[in-house]
Amino acid sequence: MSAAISLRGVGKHFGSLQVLDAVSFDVTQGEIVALLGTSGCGKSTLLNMVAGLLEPGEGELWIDGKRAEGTKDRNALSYMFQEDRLLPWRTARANAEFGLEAASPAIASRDRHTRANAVLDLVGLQGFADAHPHQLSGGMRSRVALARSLVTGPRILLMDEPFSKLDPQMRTQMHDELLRIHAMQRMTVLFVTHDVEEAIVLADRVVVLAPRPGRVREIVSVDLPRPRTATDPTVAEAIRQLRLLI
Amino acid sequence: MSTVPRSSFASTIAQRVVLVVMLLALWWLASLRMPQFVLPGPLRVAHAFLGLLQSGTFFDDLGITLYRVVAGFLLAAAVGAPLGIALGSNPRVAHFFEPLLSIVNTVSSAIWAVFAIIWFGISNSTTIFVVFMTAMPLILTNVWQGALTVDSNHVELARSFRMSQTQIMRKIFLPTILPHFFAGARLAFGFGWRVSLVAETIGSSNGIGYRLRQAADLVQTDQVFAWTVTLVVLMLALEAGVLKPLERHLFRWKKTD
Repeated sequence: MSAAISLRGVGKHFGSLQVLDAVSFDVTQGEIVALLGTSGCGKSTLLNMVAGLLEPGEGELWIDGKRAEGTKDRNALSYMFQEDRLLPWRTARANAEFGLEAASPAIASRDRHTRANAVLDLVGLQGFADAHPHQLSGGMRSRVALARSLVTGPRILLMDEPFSKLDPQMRTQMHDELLRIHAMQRMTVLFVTHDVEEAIVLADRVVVLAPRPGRVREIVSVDLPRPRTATDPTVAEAIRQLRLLI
Repeated sequence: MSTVPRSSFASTIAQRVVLVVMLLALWWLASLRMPQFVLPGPLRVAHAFLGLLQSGTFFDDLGITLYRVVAGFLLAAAVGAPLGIALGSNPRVAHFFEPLLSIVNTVSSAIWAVFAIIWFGISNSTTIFVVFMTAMPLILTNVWQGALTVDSNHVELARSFRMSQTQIMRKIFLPTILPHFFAGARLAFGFGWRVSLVAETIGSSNGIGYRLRQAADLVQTDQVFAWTVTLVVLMLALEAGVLKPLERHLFRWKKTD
């Protein structure tokens, strides 16, 4: 089985500034991988290149065993941003449907409706489909954003610090939610974080990046049973060990 | 929007009624001390209004003025909105053309009316042109400012779903601009309505503006008042009966606290 995402010597310059240098790692199908690093290590740049939001620089990027050229052909991917980026004029359901509206050939509006409802149920927002974003709490908005990312049934989910704007309690809830959905759908997840605890709680493996220019410092496997709580001694120890690396 | 709680809705109505009665009373008292041709009283104006209704041309005049305002307004929207979007999405073009907008804005509606007479003579086009020249810059400016408020995060979101430029325009730009367009359109319609009368007084042989001038020339002050009251009531009805409810429906997603 080929890797879901494979980076081989990926680099990137912004003008004369080198932000990424020869980054190589694989993400296997169904795996959850964290990209961990301090700010300025190019982790978001890396994610944007995988997502096709940014032209790749040097090196090769393979997705689902195929060479990804430029910023095209990313249909298997969904991207979840740091902010929820809900469209304020749309209801929760219409926001979830947004993910389906670019599909070609077009999906009938009734099917979009059904799929949006199903995915809102999945993230625990039954009964809130007709609410507008300003009527929802931060955690609920985050769930709508997750629903919008999942509605296309992506094989790969990319996340750029998606829960960093939430308060700690809500963040833990969203972690549980994500792991629950992952257990059902087995999509590949690659996410960026600067939060060591988040990396340990969620990821199968953690790619630790070193800054200026961004490069792989170490790849750490997290072989702990789930669910993982930060207060559990073995989890706390893993967090401590990882913190020493960055 | 309003900070008045819902429970006081009845009280608001009562206050409005009191205000109208007060104004009518003041008007009536003032008219007692003035000659009829300077300030006719409410009753006499009501009579004049009934006379207008029976004159046979009342609804024709109302209709033709409304037609001119709406035509000028629709033209202004059709030209102003796309131009506003174009300027909003091309900062360099906008920077180049910005002075032109200032020039157009400084020219008074009366001057446009004079030009219109020279170019179009006594015709519908004269009034339509004046309404257009007044309304178009207002719509353009508002749409332009609206286009500048488009959230680049939303555009990036649409791109992450691989949406085309047309889809981004339709699903991100237009909904963002719509409230601004609506505000501009409301302003433009109000201004257009007022300047249409100015244009009609000098460049037309029918319509409300023409009748106003005719009544003034013949010192039929009561008819001037009757037309004025008609216009005010019409505009208030349009505002409360169409624009406000439409705005509330279109922008129900906005925070109202």
